[in-house]
Amino acid sequence: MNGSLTAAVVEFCSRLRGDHEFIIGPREAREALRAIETVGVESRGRVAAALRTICCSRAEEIEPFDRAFAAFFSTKSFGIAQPKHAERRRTRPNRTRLQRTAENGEAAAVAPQPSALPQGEDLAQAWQVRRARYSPAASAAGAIAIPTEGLDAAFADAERLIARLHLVRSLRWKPQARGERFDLRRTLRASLRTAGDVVVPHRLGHPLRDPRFVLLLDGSRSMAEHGPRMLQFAYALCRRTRRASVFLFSTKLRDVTRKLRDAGRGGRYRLDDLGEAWGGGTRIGASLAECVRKHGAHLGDRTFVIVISDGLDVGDIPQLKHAMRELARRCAAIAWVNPHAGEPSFTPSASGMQAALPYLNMLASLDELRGLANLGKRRKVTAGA
Amino acid sequence: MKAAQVQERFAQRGFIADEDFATSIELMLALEKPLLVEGPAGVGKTESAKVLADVLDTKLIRLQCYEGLDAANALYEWNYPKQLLHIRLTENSGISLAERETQIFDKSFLLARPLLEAISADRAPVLLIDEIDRAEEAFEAFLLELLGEFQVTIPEIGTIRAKARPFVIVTSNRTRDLSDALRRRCLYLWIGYPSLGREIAILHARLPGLNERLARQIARFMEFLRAQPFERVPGTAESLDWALALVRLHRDALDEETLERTAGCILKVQEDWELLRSLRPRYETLLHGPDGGASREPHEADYGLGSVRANLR
Repeated sequence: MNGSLTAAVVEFCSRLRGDHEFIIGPREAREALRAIETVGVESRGRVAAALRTICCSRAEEIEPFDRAFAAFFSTKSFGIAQPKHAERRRTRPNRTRLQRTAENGEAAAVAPQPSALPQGEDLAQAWQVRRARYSPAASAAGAIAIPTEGLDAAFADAERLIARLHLVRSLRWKPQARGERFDLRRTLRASLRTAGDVVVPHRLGHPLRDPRFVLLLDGSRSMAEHGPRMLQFAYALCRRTRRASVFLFSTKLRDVTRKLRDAGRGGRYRLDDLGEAWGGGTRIGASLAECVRKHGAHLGDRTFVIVISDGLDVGDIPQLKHAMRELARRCAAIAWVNPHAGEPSFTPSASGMQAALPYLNMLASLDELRGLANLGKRRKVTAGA
Repeated sequence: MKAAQVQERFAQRGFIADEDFATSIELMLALEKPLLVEGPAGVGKTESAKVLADVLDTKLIRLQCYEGLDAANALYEWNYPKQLLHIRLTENSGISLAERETQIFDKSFLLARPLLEAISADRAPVLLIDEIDRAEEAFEAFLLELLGEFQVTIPEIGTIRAKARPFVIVTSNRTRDLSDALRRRCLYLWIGYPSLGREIAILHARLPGLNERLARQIARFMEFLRAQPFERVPGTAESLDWALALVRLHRDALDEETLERTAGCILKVQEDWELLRSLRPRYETLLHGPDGGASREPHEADYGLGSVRANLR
């Protein structure tokens, strides 16, 4: 095989691994070369199909692969190289100082524009909201505290949920002392020790299946008021079961399960270094899609997903819809906890809520957290609910 | 076998294979690696293995996965009644206990299940491990040795290597995520819902008597349905069932009454029926477009991403 082609394929594999987090190593690179040898290089489409078959290992990787393939193998143009044109000066109007500093992550040091922001006590709060809108980077959070007041109630809610959530029995037959089925195989095997005489009968039964919990917490500014309660519940759930995974999202998703498990040691109820997962704008769709793509192993037919968010999404709504559809397909049930759902005038009219509604099994308020345990059979929530 | 030959031979058997599919099959045969096929239900994953066995003129061995599937049902099981009988018969023969144990763990007491049958065959069969996502993670781990090395280890006998490497197709509906270890041992193919043009071609290939107008109407309507949030989104298998039902009912065009009478062919959940009823104002436009929406010249948006949204505007 041509040396430059070999180098290009190896480089492409390494680009997929580095830039797109594909799990591919030297073995896949070798197979990619064999695949190209098999299909030939006459058809670009067939080369792409062959490399896709080797390098991709899940559906979510197909789109990044296609983009990477197009970008990597389209850079070389045919013909004589032409001199590059001198770069034109940009004629865009000057950016404001606010925009420049927000992009540099120094927004906190800049004073707000008096004409654009409200005056008085709300100034600081409004300024923070505006910062979050300008740039997700500007929202990078330091540490947040989990209030200890009311923690007992959160523990009670979590314990009730763990204990009372409807459990199903596995279809798998496992050895059980009082199982309902006689286990001929184990009984006969055991009888070899007693010269073929059956002394100890063995039995099989269906073991109970414990549900897994996946909590997706909206850490955007609009949820700031409800953050402490939300974190208390997540903390309590993580402390009471190892089968819970907690993700925090604002403009980026972050797995905080380990942080929550470790929080509280030595009386230090804090979560450090949350970056863009706390206090910024909201990209629910992108965050849920990332959860499905990168943390799909947490989802399964015994996973109960709880999303705590007000549904105010400034991101891509079709992406949210798609992510919800994927979530619904891959887990047992989804409950959406909206802090405003308890208000009498509440209707799920936010664009994010509208997109998510068809895929929910339950819509609840924060006060109804303990009611999640009553979620039995799957039931649909309609737009009017 | 080259991709073009794959497409041709599959088409002869009523399976319309696109370039991606044909290339994956070509690589699977050339590299002798298992092929993991993922996609929604009813798009032809299982059928592809059946047709491949037919094309290669070899045996199809199918292992249907389910929750609770274990090595005893998938690989081998000792014939316990026969072993017990043998123990009884040799009770007074003076054979030592160790010798008797060796005898009863001989291959003649082994009941071969699909996986053992596949690697023991003299001629490479097509091994279909269907709906692997229904089995548990422990079973997936158990498969790694077979998929990676084409060998299995039976504690009492030792390692059995494949006489001829079977052509393995593993399918999954993605009801749960499979492990990276399993994925790394396989080539990967995603089969999605077919485009409008491909669905029409599939309908014609499977039901040669179907008229062009009805085929186009069915394909367009299925495209519309797949854009809705149904619990069970209908696949190609449902399109074929529906088309067959319409042919049997001697219908040559779709209308509301026919749709209501035959909706059971495409939607299998009560909630989905209700959703379909609520969508009536939207699909009426689709059914009563010019010539039932069937004769319109295909637009470039009819194919590929965004086509469904383009039609709903």
